[in-house]
Order: sequence, then C-alpha cells, then structure tokens
Amino acid sequence: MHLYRLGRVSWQDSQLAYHALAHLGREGLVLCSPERPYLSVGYFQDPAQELDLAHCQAAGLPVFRREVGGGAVYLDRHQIFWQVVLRRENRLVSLNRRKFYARLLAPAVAVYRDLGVPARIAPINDVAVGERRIAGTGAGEIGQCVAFVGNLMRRFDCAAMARALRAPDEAFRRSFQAHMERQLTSLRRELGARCEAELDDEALYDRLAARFAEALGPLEERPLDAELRRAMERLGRRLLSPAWTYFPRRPRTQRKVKVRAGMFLHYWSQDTSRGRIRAQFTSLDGKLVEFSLREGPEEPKGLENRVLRELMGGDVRLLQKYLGDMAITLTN
Amino acid sequence: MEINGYNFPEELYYDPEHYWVRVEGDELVMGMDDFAQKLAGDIVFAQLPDEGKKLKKAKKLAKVESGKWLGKILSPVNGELIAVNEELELNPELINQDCYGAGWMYRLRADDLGELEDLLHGAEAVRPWVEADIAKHAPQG
Repeated sequence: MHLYRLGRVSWQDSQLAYHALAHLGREGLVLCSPERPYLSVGYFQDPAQELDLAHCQAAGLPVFRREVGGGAVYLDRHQIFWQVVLRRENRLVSLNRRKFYARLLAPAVAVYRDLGVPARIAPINDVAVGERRIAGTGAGEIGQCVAFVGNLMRRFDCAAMARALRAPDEAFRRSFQAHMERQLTSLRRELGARCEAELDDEALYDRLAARFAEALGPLEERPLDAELRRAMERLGRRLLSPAWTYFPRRPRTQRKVKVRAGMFLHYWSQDTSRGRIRAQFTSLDGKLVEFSLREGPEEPKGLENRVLRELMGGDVRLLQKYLGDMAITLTN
Repeated sequence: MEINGYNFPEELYYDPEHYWVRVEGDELVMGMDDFAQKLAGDIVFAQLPDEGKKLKKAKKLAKVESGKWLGKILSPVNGELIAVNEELELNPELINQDCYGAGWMYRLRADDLGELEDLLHGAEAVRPWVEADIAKHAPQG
C-alpha cells in the first residue's frame, strides 16, 4: 500500500488528499497536519447550527464539511492526522463496525502505548486513557472506498473548540469547555514537557507509519502524483464551495454535543404559550446524570426537583419525552 | 424466516448490500435489513433526498450514519424516488427499532419491475447468502 507522508500542508489539502484517493478508488495511508487551525464538521451537520460562524469568520477559522461521519471538531497543527483509505472489498473492511474499528485503531493505540501512554480502544471508535478521550475519528464510504480518519493528539485546545461551537448561551459554552477539559487528554497532558522535546511531527509520523504497516502490510512512500493533484483540485471546487459547506438542515429544538465516548451535553429549548422552557443536561451511556432547568414556566412548580428525583439515572430519552409532553401540555 | 438470530421476512427481496425491498402494487418500499441495522448499531442520521430524484441501479441513493460511520445506500433498481419516510428526520432510531415496519426508508417506482429478479428472494437464495455474511461479519460468541 502507498504511504503519503505529506507533513505540514494547507488546511484544505489536509482533507482533500484522502477524499481524492477515495474518489479515485486508490488505497493508501495519508499522514499530515494542517498548517493553520480550522473546523471540520460531519457530513450530516449544518455548520450554521453547530458552529458560531460569526466567531469563526472573525477569528479566520475556515470550515470544512467532510464526507465522513461524526461531529464538529477544531483541528490544528498540534494534531497529527492519519487517514486510511481502503477499497470496499479489502479484507479489513467489515460490516461489523466494531471489528473494523478495532483493527484500524490498533496502530494509533500502539503508538500511544509505545510512548508510555496507556491508551485503549473505547468502543465503538474512540481512543481513551482511563476515561479520557485522546483521539477523534470518523469513517465514510466514499466512491468505491472506505476512508477512516483520526489523529494523534499532541495537544488539544479545548478553549478554541468551545469558543467556535454554537452555544445557546455562555453558560452552556462554559459547561462544554469544562466537560472537555475533564474528559479529554493529550500527549502533552500525559507526558508533560517530554512531549514537546521528543515528539516532533517527524517522530510521530515514523511511529504511525511503522505501526500502520503492521495492520495494512508494507507501506511504500509516494509523493502526491499528478492524478491525485488533479482530483484534489476537482474535488476542492465542490467540497470547498459554500453551497456544499453550508448546506442547510432543518433546525432542531435540541442541541447535543459529544464530550467523549458515551457522554453528551444536551440543551433543550421550547417556546410554549406560557413562556420558554430551557434545560441543560448531561447523559452518560444513555442515562441522565446531570440536569438543570435554565428557564421555565412558573407552573408546574418544582419541575427541576421532580426531574432530579424521578428521572436521574434513568434513560435520557424519558426526560426528553417528559419535556416534550410538558411543552405540549403548556401550549394547549 | 429467522437465520441465526436475524429476522429475514421471506416475502421480501434483498439487495446484497443488506437492504430489503417490498412490492406494493407497482411501487417498491425499501429499508435496511435486520442484519445490517444490528451490525451498524444506533442509526443517528438517515438522508432523505427530494422526491422525484432519478435513481440508477447500484448507484448512490442516499447516505446513513451510525457510530460515526457514514454509509452509502445504493438504489436497487433504475427508477424514481417517490416518497421518503419523514419520521426518520427526527427519529432515525426507528430503523433500529422496527426495520421492516416503522423504520422503512424510501418508496420507489421502478422503470422495470423485472429488475427485482436481480435481487435475492426466497429461502433458497437468502439463507446461504445471510449465513455467509454472518460467518464473515457477525460478532463472535
């Protein structure tokens, strides 16, 4: 298989190279990092609903909508990207996602472990140290291929991520940042100054290439050839266009952002004829673990206490149903 | 018909990509089969293209996401998309809860219903195909 060790590239190329490989039906491993920060959103995400676009524009943060699943993420040069492109008939590609992810996350996990960080796969496709997430990943069927992409996190800028996120209010943004700071980690956090001294980009590329070769077979290093460059240019016209990036989706009454595998921060808001109801809550593995009513009608009294008493620890969908039913009752 | 714990109603047609097709008059209804939805895990998004979309057999009809995996749904026939299950916009988990009922995905009109013969149909065809895919993909134990 071919290895495209691109190093520091433009933010556009850090996404277009693997998309181009996949659209051409060519297998390969891309290793790179972006020369400037940007935001990447999942295929099904509407940047206008996920991101504070005014801030992104003012801060000079471009937005890219990828042909891969998952959520919005802040990306910068402190993250080393690995991007695997396999043809769909490759033996490593399975309908069994868990099996697929386990096989292809193993190299990244091994690199962390080689560096002395006790990482593990956190199903279904996160990498964690203890309970803290240390990678972002996503997969997508593109053309005749499957692209699986992720990163080694040397550092992660939680403040920049939280600032770029569209938040219903500043309290939600602060909660999100605090959750991320508690639930995410990085090489810098795990290894301290040693990380900066020993782990420059080239050292991490070397380690990733060696470990991915164990999973993918021998890797032959190649530069971006003319066919790939043409495909990147062609794809860029589509994937970098505002029409693609800002494709609008139906607005939602709920806001849900992932903190780490299994943990989500939710914001729920609904106007009723007796005023607006706004609630913020946290779920862990589908169970309600935190709840606060941010704004609510005078009746029913004690709503927050009732939720805390009756629904805490239960299926988070029960709370969503409860809030929805209550909004209907208050409107009728 | 149940095959190693996966439900495959015998009257349906199946695409090798694990989508089912039901004939209703001169229209077709399709969705994800039980094997695919179980292996995919929680479906979080299902794309609902505009009605009237022209469909080409074995070409992309829409996309679906589960577990940060963005998958393609291929059209089983040449024809036209005539309706989508709007419920999936807000409740894509219906595909997991009731893949052959409330979790249906698209209604199509085929240019030629004879193309259904290219799909898998009947226990003799479906059982060995499913058993082979279970051996290849299903979780062990």
